[in-house]
Amino acid sequence: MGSTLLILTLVFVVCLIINVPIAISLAIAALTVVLIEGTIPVSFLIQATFTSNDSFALLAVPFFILAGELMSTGGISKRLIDFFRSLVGSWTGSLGLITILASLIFAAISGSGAATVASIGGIMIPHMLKGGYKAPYAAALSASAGALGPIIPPSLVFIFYGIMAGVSISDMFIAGIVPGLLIAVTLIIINYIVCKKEGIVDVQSAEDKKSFWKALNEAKFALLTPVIILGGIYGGIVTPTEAAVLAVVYSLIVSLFIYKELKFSDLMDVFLRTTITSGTVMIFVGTATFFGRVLTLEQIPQFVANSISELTTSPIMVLLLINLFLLVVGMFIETVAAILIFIPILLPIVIPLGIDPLHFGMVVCFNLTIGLLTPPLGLNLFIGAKVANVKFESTFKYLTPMLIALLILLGIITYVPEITLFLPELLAK
Amino acid sequence: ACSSDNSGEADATGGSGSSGDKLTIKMANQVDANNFLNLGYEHFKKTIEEKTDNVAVEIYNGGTLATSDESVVDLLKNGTIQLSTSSAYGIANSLDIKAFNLFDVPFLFDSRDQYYEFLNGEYGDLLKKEVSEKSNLYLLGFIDLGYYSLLNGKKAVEEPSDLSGLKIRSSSADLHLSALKAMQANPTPMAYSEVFTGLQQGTIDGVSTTTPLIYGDRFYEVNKYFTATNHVLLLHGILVDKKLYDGLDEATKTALDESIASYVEEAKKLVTDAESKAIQGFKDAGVEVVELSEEQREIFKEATNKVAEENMDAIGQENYDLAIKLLSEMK
Amino acid sequence: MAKITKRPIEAYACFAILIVMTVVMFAGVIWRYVFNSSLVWAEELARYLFVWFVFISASYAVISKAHIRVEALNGLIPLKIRPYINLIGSVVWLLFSLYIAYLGFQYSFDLWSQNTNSAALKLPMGLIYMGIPLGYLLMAIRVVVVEIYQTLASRKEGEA
Ligand code: NA
Ligand code: NA
Repeated sequence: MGSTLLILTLVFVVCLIINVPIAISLAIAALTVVLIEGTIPVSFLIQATFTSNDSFALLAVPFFILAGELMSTGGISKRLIDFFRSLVGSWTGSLGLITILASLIFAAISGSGAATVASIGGIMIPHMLKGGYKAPYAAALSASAGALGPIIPPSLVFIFYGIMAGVSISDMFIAGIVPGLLIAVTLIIINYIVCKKEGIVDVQSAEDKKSFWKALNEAKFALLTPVIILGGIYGGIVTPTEAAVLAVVYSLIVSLFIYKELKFSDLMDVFLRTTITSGTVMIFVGTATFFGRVLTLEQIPQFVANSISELTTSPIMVLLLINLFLLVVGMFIETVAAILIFIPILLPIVIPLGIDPLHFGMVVCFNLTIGLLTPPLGLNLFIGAKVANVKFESTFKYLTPMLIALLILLGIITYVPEITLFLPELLAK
Repeated sequence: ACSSDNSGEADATGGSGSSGDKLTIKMANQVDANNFLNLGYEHFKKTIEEKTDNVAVEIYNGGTLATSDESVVDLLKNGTIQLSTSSAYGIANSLDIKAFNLFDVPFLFDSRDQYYEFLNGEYGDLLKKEVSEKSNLYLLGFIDLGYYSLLNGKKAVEEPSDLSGLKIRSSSADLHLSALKAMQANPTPMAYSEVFTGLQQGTIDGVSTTTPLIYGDRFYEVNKYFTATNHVLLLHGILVDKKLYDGLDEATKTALDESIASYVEEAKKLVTDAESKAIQGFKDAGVEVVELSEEQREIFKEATNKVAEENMDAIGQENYDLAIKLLSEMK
Repeated sequence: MAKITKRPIEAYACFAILIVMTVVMFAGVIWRYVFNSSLVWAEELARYLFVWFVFISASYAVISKAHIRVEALNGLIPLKIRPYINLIGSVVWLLFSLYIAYLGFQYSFDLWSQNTNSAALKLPMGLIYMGIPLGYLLMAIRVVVVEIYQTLASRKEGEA
């Protein structure tokens, strides 16, 4: 058992070191074990790859990516921001507040953190720089607000967790709302404190500030998108996958015919950007499933579970250990990849302890979302720093309090399951 | 030649059971540990491990290895697992054996006793022969996972016209779709994991699956009208890897046969218990339970009498004719 | 090295599949709501197109150098020898892709010969499975062109 785990880890890490993509490294590691042990036929690889990809729920992934792409190319971000600028006056830190609020709404359209930072941060960071915000702060705030992307539904990470854990994706979506709002409130408070301390009071010029009604009118199609997605699912019209398709069709209509910021000739580029994002993420599904099932067949989850239960059987301690482990994982490994690799190992450990798989899903996804902000692999942070044209190291002064706040929230979400389970249970009544 | 290609690996897996070698039998299903199907697997494991000292059974439940009925058969075919059960539908599809599709014809049998009598006769032998001819597997016996029934959130369904216009979640198997259509419902395929929310939110009006599943997956918490149509009894065939089975020494083979026999008996008890527990659970939860009278059942049966004919390509005329002949002889 | 001016075959394939998937699934929703009946085959067609989409898009992602790696670990290797080490990595990737393509084609042809068909559309399952080996075969070709050939070519240029 121990030796199998050793071979698996060794081959995996060596592959990563010699620059083989993570998805391929996973399959090579598992395949090595299969070839050495000889207890599982190699054709299992093809079977596991097919059955894991042959999933209607998974189809939501490229469609939510596509809807996000269409919306940011098609002018929605700009109108969202205009709307919030008309709503929020000239206050201490109001541009920061607008960044957070626009990210919150954009997160209700997009399924990922990177898309949220690129789309909202891309517009707001230049505004903040003009308004006297320090570049590192503008980068750190946009990146942190991007953490709303995967937590506020829809969410690619939730879809992957739901599939791996057999939890309803609709339930995961609804469970993310309260934790997402908590992130937003926390960031709003931090933004106020920082801007107060640094004496940043935003003054909007008359030409900047559109009238509220005009801005609302222009943003109405954008604001309607979350209503269509969430209203479609919870109003009993569509499944999450179909909601993703509706979002694509709707955003095609809005960006092509209403906002007219997308031309037919641009369509292929938008679709191909989706293709690349999907391709890099979806390739994991087959290889990580194969990896997971080889682990299962080699009884490694039981081995890990037994090792942990020798240390402690307290759910509190086990969750603490898992959280610490995932924080390290999140520093190095992409969120979806981490879900696909580690859920088959972690779920059998926590289920016997009586932990609700829905609650556990939120803990895992929230934890890994923090990883979007931590180097060496912190996608949100990289995008934010790139737009603000600063080195990501320079953001740490401002990022640290945000990270601490998110870690405290993680602790609360971990040990107060009601925060996650409250809305889904309310809806079930 | 998937089977022959993989025989080498199957050998390595099985260890052929000769002379005191430790023999591992891997099994897989898609249900939770406490589901009656898995409890049946556990019963088999316990029985055979008690009867022998060289056999160990590993059960991979909860879809950790196989996520569909077809994939269970695929895993058996390629030697990843050695013994498991799969639905008539899964076997029919994965091994291209039409005779299994007969069991999805609605209201074909009058009772569970008749059903097992039928399976233990000439038709069961035909199924065993076809499995053996078409794959590297033996069909050792039959169990069932309970009767198909209907749950919906709109109204008490007592006759087919009550189903008119209702979107009922179904599998995408032709016979299931035909049966629901014949009962005037609007069959709607949907990912199984979304059914609960779908019922809750009204994306679908109801679901047709087995009574124990409707209970086990808590669908009755959100939809309050249950009708025990009992139109199909979900057949599972017990499949074993030929290489493993043929390689067993006499004593182990006897132990395995006896354990399978004991498993079949236990499975019957488990499924009928699960059904009565489900019905009681519905009643306790305030679900309106419709159990069809003889006349009501006849109306449903009448409504669906064209289903077999419409799907004759899938069932095979010769299989259907044989079944009708055998059934009429049994009456 | 000539820049790729025309789009690769994967781009057109994925673009077309995405559009067909969108249309088919949207039609499924419309049929259920407007005509109150189900397009049973729509869900199945979308799922199977998706299998093809996944593996072809994975090949396309090689061209864009978008596949996710752990750069922090690769960065542990001294800069001087890193290109050579990474070349070994690319060869490992290539061999793996070829192996999967081989296994996958074998599996698909077996399925095809066994006459296993899909539930709604009655498509041969072997054909649907074929998306996996085809994608990995394309990926192998892209790894040769993008990862191996271009690395070697740029090395040569650097020396000259
Ligand atoms: Na989101
Ligand atoms: Na990170």
